[in-house]
Amino acid sequence: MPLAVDPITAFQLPEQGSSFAPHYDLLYAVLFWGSVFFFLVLIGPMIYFALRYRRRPGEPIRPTPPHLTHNALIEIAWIAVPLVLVVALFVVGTVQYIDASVAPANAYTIQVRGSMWSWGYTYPNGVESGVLKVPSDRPIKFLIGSKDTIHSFYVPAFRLKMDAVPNRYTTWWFQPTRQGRFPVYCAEFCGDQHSQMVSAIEVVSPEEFERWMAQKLKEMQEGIPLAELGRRIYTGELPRGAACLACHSLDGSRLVGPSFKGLWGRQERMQDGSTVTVDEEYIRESLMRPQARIVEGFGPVSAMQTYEGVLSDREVLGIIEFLKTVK
Amino acid sequence: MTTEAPAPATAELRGEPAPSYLQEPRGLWSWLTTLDHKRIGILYLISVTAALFVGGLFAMLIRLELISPELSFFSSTLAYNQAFTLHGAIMVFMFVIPGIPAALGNFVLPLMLGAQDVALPRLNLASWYFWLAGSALMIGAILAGGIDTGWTFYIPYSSTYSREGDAVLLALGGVFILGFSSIFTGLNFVVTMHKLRCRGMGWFRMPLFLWAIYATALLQIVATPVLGITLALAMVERAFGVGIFRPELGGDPVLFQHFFWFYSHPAVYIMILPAMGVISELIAVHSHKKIFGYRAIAFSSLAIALISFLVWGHHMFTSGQSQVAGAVFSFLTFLVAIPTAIKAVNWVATLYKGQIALRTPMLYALGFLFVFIVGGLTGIFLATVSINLHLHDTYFVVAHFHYVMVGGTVMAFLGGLHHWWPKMFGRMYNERAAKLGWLLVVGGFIWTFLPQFIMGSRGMPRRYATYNMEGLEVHQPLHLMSSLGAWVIGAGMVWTLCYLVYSIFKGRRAEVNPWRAVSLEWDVPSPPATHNFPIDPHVDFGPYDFERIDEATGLIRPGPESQRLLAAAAVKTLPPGAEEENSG
Repeated sequence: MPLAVDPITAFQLPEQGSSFAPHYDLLYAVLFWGSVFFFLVLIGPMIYFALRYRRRPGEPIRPTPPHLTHNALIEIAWIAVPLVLVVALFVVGTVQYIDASVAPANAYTIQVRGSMWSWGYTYPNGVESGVLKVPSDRPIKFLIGSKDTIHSFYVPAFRLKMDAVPNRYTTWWFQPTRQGRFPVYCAEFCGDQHSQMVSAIEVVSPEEFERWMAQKLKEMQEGIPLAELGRRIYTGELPRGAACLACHSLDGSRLVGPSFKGLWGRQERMQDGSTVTVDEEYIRESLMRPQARIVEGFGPVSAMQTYEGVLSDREVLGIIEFLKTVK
Repeated sequence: MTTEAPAPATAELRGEPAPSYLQEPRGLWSWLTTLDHKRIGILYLISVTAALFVGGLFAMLIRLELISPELSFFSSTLAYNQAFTLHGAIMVFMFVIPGIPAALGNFVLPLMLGAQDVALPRLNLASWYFWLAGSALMIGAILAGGIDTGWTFYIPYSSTYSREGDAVLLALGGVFILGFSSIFTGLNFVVTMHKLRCRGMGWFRMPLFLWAIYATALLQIVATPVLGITLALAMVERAFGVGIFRPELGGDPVLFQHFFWFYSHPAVYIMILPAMGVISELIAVHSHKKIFGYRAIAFSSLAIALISFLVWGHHMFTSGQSQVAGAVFSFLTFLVAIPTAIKAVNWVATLYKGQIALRTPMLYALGFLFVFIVGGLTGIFLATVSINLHLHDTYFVVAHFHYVMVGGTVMAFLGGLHHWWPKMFGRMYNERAAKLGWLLVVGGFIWTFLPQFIMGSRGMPRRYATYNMEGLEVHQPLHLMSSLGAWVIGAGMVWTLCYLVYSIFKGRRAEVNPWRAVSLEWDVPSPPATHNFPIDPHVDFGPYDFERIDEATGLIRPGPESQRLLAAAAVKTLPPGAEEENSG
């Protein structure tokens, strides 16, 4: 660690994962101990005066001598001292902020796309992924956008967050300092599953990154088998809106929606009393118009959003093939 | 005999039967149509207290949910989102903004000025009815399904993605009307302070509470319309599909944030400035010492009001605004620290060599200083733009603004309430019960919100219904601690309500001037008569000239000019026979 902080401030901050974090933590420590100092400077005398200058019962009220009602010199001093301190803080904080905002020219740029409620990533070569792997040997820049409402791309270990705003790009960048897995959260309230809109950055060695990227590229060019495509959409590895696994289990347990276990080909009772065989058409309808026919016991209204315009035809077929495999 | 001359005034001062504003006129209708600022103050006091308890109830539910990382108490995340939205919206718009100015301010402002009422009594009553109407719409929004957007109503979530779009419109309508209520109060106070100060009441003889209320009123008048404009634009957008804020129509959602905070940041100072005013009163009166740096404190209120218009962008450091804007807003935000520091240091300096009585109002003032200084210092963290990148939208921010809004405004509200309670109701509360309440509220507050600073700086985002995800479960012990503290605050609040209400019926009768203060509200009976002052008063002393207190009676000794005027008025009002007697 290039710059160590004392254990008390270290306890207040998460692990460090970027070159920015140690600088951040140092400034945080300065602010923290400065605050402790000024807190004591104000509260110490307050408590002392409050105990020392108690009014005894029946004690006559003394007129306040003029030197205790104002003193220009002292008053100017406690305007000037905080002013100098905050200007200094402003300069240091702003310089850090500019450093954290402006990416180096050689940064590797990854597009981040927030949608309700998942993060999706697109690499410069067109590879799309729901998993964010980055190489540890170069600065990484994120170009952040949103498909729907405002989200915020937040990585505590890097001490950075930036809103994902529809119709515009925002950016931040970081230089990894070690390999590892760092959680990503959404920090701007975005609705029901806001707290579940999680992801992670995996910082890996350049060699591992190249291997992973080569595999991804190969899959993209050859096309993934349909069932595998469906599985990735199910898990959110391939982000397409909310991942299916949030509401549908594979082991028969009941979540928000029916489990996928043994679903294919089964006869299901609908809440209007009719019966439906789970076939290609029913699955397609459930994806595009979730409210149309709802399985008994999961109504009255489906919590599912429509995937109309989100899933391609091939992806719908992929989900169908995947469901056939879930026995 | 000449010393007996101001008969009507002193007779009332001795508590001889002039019916108080609480007694006369009688009946519910007389209260609902009252133009008396004291009664309107009491109506507001009851209403905002009800809002405080409803908002507090939602807070308890939120803390109950957050004991466990999984969804445990609420049936859905939607229900949790609605609970925190209502907690925020009710507390901000229905309690904190009107709390001190409309309830305490209405009651004491004309009395402090030596005025018989506010300048525009009908507007004053209208303000209360607008508060009721706006609040009714907010309650309507709850009944219509509940809003789940957060009290900030950020577009496009509120306009497009929230499942309860109609409820959002109702709530926005409510906020719009509550805004008018706030404007009416502010306008009334400005006019009253300009036109109705009594004889001898120069601007620098006004108690500092009034300076703070004046600065607040200016903000209410100037900032609140922006909220109305924002809402009108949102309505036009919804009705006619004109793209202003909504990205799918070509609008800019960040523009909404600029508009929203252009109002809501000054609104933060609408919340805290009156609290600072109350603290200035409490510290000076209960130290029985002239406040240190009167003018510095008075002008710092105006400085805070001015700067507060120029710092809205610090809510948006991570919204994608330009780096230049980020730097400028950071700098301007730091400037707020200066007038705030002036106040804090002057308050502590006032205690030096004072004659301090540690009664409940003073304890609240000291509690305020203790937590408000933490709130202010953590504000410095957030103003430092690079530090903000990590802390924004985490529990650090939640803790910070609760330290300022609850630790600041609610504590000042409670301190002010205990300070003016004997004047409002003519009864003393039980001092020991009140000290227990203080301990519960202040202790519970620190217990609840201190852990939230640590959670936030360690990366716990706010507005999370669950935290069972990778890296967040570790916050469970701190969440649990925070939730337990919330119950202590809740107990303190209920306890406070109980002994205060009890005192109205069973409390010891209050003297005219129990704290030995020298502002004019302590020169009329407790509770005051319907007509504030039997004759228009005259002041020839400052608000903190405590040596003017007559030790034996606890009353303010009138100066020669006041005596002359009192005598003249007495002569005029006495029956013809008595006049001869007096002159003899």
